[in-house]
Amino acid sequence: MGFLNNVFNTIKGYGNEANDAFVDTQGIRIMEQEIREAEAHQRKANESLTDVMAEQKGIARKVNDLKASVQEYAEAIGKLLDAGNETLAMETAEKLAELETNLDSNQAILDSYNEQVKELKAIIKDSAKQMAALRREVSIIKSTEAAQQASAATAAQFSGSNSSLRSASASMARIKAKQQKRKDKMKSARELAKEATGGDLNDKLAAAGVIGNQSSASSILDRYKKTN
Amino acid sequence: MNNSLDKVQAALADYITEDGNRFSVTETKNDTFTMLTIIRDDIEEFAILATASDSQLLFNVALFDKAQIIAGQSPALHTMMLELNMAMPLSSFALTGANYSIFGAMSTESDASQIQEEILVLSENIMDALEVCQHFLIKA
Repeated sequence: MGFLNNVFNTIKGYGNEANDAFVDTQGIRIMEQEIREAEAHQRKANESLTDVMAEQKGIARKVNDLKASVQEYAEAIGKLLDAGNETLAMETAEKLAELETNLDSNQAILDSYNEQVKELKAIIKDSAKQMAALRREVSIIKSTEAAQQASAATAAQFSGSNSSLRSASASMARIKAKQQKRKDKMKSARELAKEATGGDLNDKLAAAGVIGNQSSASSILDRYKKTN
Repeated sequence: MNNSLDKVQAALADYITEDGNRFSVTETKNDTFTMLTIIRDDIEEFAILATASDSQLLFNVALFDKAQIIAGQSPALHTMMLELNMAMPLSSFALTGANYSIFGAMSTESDASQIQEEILVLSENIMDALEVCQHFLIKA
């Protein structure tokens, strides 16, 4: 089952039932149990891997020794045949046959150990992934639960003082009025500050063309023209 | 878990927005959970509730409940909320039980300035969210 599907099934509160538990605690218990099982599974796989790898190393050593012996006896047979010692060559060949059978069976065991190591490593990797996913789910569900409990606590506060949850549109209207009042107050304060510094009168005089806002090259030139 | 909420409290303690708004923070603790009630001084009626898990901080603002929706308007409201979810900066609409809310979530690794931004944007989204939802709500 997908992550969100699990969460959806575990979280209640999608309906109106105010008295329902917010989160299906049984669901969380199941997930926590799954985490514990995955942990146990991983621990077991780790132990098995250690054992199998120890065996694998032992058999690999044996296979290498046998290979060396097979090589050695094969070379000896060649030398004995060259020297015309067929009887000893036959005896050596019998020994070589025994060694080769032994090598084949040990090689088969080694192959099976190699396969087991590969499988155990895959199991360990999968359980780690599964545990991480489950831990993430439990964490998300618990934080959603905390948020739901927080909402419910506030809703209870409101329903304690009023007949039901406060009306959103009435609250919005009140806040807007309050914010407007605050803006107006700030505007008035700015205007008052401007008046106190004479800025307001200067603005009016400038608008009426009685005073200039700033000295400019043309106003200076005008001043000179008038005096001359 | 509480360390994360302590971080939120510290981030908002002396924080003043560019418009001169402040946030007051009150902690509530009980056996099962700890939460912060964050109130922006010009939107007192819509508290931001902060809770934390091991990995994330959740900030949730309850807007209205199902009883306030005009009869038959729920499907249209839901569609609008889904359509606007992506456009709403840093916040999303949610339904918990019978309560509609907007919320923001962030990592517990977030620093003070990220927490301040989250709370500021969420608080600014409150009025915008109510503004669009009011067409579907019973007038007071």
